[in-house]
Amino acid sequence: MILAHGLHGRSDLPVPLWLALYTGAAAVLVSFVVLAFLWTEPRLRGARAGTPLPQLIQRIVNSSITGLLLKVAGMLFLAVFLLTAWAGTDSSATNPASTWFYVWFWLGVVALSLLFGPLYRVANPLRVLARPAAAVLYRPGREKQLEALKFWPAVAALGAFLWLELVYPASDSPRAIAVFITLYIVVMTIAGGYFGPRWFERGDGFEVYFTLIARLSPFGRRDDGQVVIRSPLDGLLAGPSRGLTPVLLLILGSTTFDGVTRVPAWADMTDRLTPLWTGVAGTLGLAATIGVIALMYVGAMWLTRPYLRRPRRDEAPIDLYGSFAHSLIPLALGYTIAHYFSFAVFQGQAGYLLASDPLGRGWDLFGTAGAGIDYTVLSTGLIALVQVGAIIVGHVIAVVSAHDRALQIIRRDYKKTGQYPALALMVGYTVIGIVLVSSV
Amino acid sequence: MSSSTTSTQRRSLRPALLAVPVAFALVLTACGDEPASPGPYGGARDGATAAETAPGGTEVQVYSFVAEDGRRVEGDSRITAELGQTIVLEVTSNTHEELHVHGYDLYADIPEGETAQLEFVADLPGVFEVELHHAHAVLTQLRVGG
Repeated sequence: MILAHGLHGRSDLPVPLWLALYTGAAAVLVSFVVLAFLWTEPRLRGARAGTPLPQLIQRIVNSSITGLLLKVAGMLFLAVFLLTAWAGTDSSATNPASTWFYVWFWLGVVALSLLFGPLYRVANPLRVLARPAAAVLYRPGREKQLEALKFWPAVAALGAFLWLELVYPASDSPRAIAVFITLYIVVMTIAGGYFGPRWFERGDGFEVYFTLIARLSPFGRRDDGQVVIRSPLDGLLAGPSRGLTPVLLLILGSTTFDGVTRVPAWADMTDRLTPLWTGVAGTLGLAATIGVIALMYVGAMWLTRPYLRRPRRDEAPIDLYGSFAHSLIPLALGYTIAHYFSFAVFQGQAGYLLASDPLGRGWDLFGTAGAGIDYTVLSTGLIALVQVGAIIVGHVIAVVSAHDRALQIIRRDYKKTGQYPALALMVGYTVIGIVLVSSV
Repeated sequence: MSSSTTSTQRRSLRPALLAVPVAFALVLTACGDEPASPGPYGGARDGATAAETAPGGTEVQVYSFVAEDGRRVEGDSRITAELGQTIVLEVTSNTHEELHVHGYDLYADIPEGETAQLEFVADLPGVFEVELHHAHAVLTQLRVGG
């Protein structure tokens, strides 16, 4: 018999079939419109684009006080969270740490990054902790070794977290979370000390993920250092692409797997399993889902290869597999919103309701003891609209950004044909997303 | 169930012996019912007095389950209800268990070898897990259409 999902006490009803069909049709239509009518020369300028914000705002953003405040906030949150996770009760129904971790941190920082850009990089408390470690462990020149690791350390870190969240049968247990985060801190502090601060851009799964989401923010830093407001399409290109594909396929695949586990057929299949076998089935299911999502990507890139143009003189060979990585960011975000929007709004409330008695001592610090989650703040109609809306908006941004990238790397005489595989891939991902939210 | 009764008689919870037919049980418990025990967030949802058949005579939907050693051996893995419908979960367990309807945050104690009934109005739309707390196992999934 399947174990309780813990935090997921309420989940969404299926998106109505008619709405799902319209959304799917719209996704296909949008893709054709992009192919047929959009610009035919690469137009996006990435980190070179953007309108500078007023000087006053720039000064505030760049001031050391802002940075310090963010770091203090990050350290405070981590300290209170760790204390609560270790010293509070071992039930997510009475200990707010589980909600803080899975909702306020994992989903909340996504929202903040989307709105305000890469704040987490500044607030990341692990960077602060690694500083004294670096005094002992760091030797100059380690950045080269780090470069060679690409983003695989982040893939490992995120993979471990996602396994805990989506597969581990007692994922909501505050103590399980405490153990995970404590280990995470130890590993990140040592690695961050050994490799220097650049480690966090490649090895801290949380920072890597939040920074990727921040590329979709209207705010960012231009390559001349100015803080600018810019189109998310340009923002997507502001940052490395080589080696990022596995990170995004992991995120996309795991969110897809979360959708799969909500489909009745999955519940029927795992219904009679013991906790151990539920974990095994979950691990295999997670790996298989990520595998399918990754194979689709590899297949589409394999079909694109014949249409690639020759590299220009003095130009590095075209990195086909990394080329479309940034286009997966809006898709991954769309999936994430579709799956976790109502969960964040509902379960997120428990984070402050339970904060009144964080350690389970009978306190009532904020007078919220005795209050319950208000499940009436969102109607089911609104939830369904947000779900399909997020998927379709993510699809549009993904397709437009992939179109622009395709124009850069595909032979001029195959401008349209050469885009078919990438477009088909995006449509495929989107259709999977829609099917999953309508068949839960 | 007609709307006249739903607002006041929201939730009730009565361990009762299975032998008693549901309709009869409804009448019996009308005179003395223990309130629903508080939920994890302190019991925001009030325990109610006994429910009764609506004046219009709308049917109360009863779902029966049997659990052995914290696992469901009888009953459906998914149950569905219309929004606003009154439903009764009737659970027999050979071990001492606590029934918990997530979201609604309703609890019922099931003494060893006995049957508990949990009656409430399904007035929150969504998919909710119904759990056997001591075994940490999902008994069934309640789907309330919006």
